[in-house]
Amino acid sequence: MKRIKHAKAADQYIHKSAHPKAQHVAAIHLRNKRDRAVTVIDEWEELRETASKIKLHTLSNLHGYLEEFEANAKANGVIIHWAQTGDDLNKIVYELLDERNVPYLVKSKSMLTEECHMNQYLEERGIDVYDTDLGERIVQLAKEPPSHIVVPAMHKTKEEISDLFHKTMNTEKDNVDAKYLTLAARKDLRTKFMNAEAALTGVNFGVAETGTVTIVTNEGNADLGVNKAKLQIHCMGIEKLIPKLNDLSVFLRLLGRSATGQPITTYSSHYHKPKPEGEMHIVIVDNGRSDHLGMEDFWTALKCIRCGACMNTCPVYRSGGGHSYGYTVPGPIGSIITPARDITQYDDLPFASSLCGSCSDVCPVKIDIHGQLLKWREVIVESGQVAKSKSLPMKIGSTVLSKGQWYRLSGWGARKFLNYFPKLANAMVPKWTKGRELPNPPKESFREWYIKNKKNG
Amino acid sequence: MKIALFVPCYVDQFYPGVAKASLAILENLGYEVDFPLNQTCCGQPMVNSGFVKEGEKVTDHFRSVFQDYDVVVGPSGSCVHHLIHHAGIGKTENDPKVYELFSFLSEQDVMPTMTKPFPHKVGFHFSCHALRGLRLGKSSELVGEGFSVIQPFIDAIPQAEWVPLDQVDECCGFGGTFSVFEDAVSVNMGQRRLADHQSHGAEYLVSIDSSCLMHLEGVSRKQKDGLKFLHLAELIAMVI
Amino acid sequence: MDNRTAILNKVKKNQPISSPHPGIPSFDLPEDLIERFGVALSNIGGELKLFPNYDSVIEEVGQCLEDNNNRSYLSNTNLQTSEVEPHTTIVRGEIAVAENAAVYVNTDLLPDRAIPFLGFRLIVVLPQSNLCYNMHQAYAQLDIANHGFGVFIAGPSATADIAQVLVRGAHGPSKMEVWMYK
Repeated sequence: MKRIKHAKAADQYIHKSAHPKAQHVAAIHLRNKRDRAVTVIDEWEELRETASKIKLHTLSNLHGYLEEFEANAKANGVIIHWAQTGDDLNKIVYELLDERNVPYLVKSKSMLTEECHMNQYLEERGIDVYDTDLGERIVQLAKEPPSHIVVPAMHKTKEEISDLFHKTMNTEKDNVDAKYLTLAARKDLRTKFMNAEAALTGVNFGVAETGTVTIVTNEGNADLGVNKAKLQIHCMGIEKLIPKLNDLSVFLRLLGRSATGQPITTYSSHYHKPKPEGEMHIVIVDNGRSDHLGMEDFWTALKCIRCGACMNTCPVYRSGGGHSYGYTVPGPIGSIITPARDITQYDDLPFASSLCGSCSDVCPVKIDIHGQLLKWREVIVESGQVAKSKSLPMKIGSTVLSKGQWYRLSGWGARKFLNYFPKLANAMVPKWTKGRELPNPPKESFREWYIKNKKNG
Repeated sequence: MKIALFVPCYVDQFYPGVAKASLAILENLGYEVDFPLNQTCCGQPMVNSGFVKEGEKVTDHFRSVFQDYDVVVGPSGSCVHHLIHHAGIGKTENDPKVYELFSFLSEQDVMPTMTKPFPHKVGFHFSCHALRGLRLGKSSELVGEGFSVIQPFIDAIPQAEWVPLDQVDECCGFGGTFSVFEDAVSVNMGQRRLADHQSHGAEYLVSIDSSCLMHLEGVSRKQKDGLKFLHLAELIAMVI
Repeated sequence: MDNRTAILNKVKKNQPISSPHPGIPSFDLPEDLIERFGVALSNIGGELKLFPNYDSVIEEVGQCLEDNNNRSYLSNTNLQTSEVEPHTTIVRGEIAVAENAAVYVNTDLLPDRAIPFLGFRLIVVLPQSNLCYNMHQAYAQLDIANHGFGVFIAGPSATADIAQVLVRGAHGPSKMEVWMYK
């Protein structure tokens, strides 16, 4: 797997892409909508605390809740499958479709299947996949990964989408009206929905006490697909469980407001039993999550309910774009999940943060995201995989700064150097000076001034 | 109460005016303040880059320099946040209590008498470590009654007009070594912050952290937008 | 070892020390539920219609059904699904939530679970007495676990996936009305 270099990819997005502001404009719009939607809820902070504790409780009793969920879902007539890896998941789904000669699959948004590259797996084996969430449909047609987990095509302008739809659906050239384009996509997918034999969804919450899978969408695409097709398949990561139906009341109040500033997502669906003469399957997926659960400093990242608020608020995400993270889940939460999956491939991501802490304050389940980003940096440094160009200055700095006289000498030297050779100094710190000037060095440090003017009264 | 002034390394070297202003404010309010000459840095640059052991060496030096004081006051939310929340200074009885300058004045319930006017439009940049780290104000993400330890000080500056901002507390993009390792993103964030302040007519940009200012001023001078930069201590020292 | 055993074993080995479930706190409830529901619904593009009694609802439903493209599923007499997608669909709601204008529909009462998602206009009918304030109350009152498939619906189907422009009728109905009777 290719090692992700966030700084380089972000630099490309900022300086080389066609629309480097699209991600910011869309994400900050959502952040501002979120603010308006949460300030009217007096008990917001209490809800966050409650949600966090419910998730901590569930994760710390996950074994029991998984068994409970399975037993209750089975009693409802649901068939349960277990997948250790992404490949296991893909294989299970493929076999379900293949055994029933299903020609194509309608799929609502599932970041889990993105993570496991399911579309590619199925298409290579002759099963067409139609992503039905409009944003996911757009990136599917554009053959790109999503740049955001809630708004997958956030990075695309309406002009780009108009072009894409003109090429793929024969819509009017240069018609950039969002309503026209949206309704064209609706029409395009309608026959697929109506004749679908199989539908697949992700899962937002799995309820242990009842075996419920809860799915939320704004478009109604999950429900249209699932309820039309005879075969319904739901793919759920093991961390999606919550104990009771009533716990949903807490999460549904938080999720829509955090994600898009809506009081609640348009459709909050509860699937318990197969439809008459239908089949309902749930695939419970691990794919690295159980290992993550065992990481003392990092397991609480599994509390995440995938609202995307940390992306919308993150100025690094908005500047560098969602694709610069090189993973299905980008932004701050992605940067603490990915190293738990593969520390070598994603060792750059915890450094892609200014540690401003906005992510932790916005998080509806109170994950200490920026705390974990910092902790990951320590783990990555300890593992010895940090480049010399980064580690050497730190070691020298540490030595210099732990001795007063060394520090004074080097500080004096640096200022003199900046004073006498400003151009050379600029050239030596190109990463700083590419977009910034260096400070004008004063003629004396505070310490020198203090000794002259203050020391003896 | 034995008080020491802690002057962060880059402030000592590049922004001596901020340290002088901090000293002047404290002395103006009648405090006797020492400046221990052997001090260096808080260790944050190392720890924030993942080099915890290297940072601890620097923090140990800090501890030994300041161990005989009751209170250490520094004009930087970021360094103070690091000292308290990451280096754990103040956890043992022998440790001094470390304060960001204005949180110290606020706790002491003192206010410098400001008499000279500052008839300018000013934008305030609330640094993240002061805001979300030290919690010197309510961050815009949280729900609840608003508060700010800094507000009374900026309100007291005669004739200064504080401009509103679209994003009241967004990060400037400095982030320590982040500003170099992620230079493109860092500069882009800085440009966005400057644009917010300028679109509301700010002539000056004021903060309680010189590190944010160093970065923002660097971006501003590069794009020659004419904004001026002051640490809040410098501004207050000008008007007392 | 099969997948199930392998996953469960690993989870058992790795799960942290158990922390307690916090319970769901109780929050202050306002009085003016109908007004709040109406405002919340109109904010999300829906419309509230109030009726003095059930008979007056049925009268209006009757008028609505004069158009052959419209379907009502309020009573058990019309349980046919049609091949052609209807324009307007009328279904029964079980509970409405004032805080967010969500209305719960139990699709076990419908001949086809897809019905609330079809067509262009969805009308949900329910008594005013089934209006509660927040989701905590709604879940406490509903018997969701015994429904094969149930859904909270809050407003018309919507998307803003293209340049943040809100478009209604993404895949489901572009209009949603709640008809509430005393």
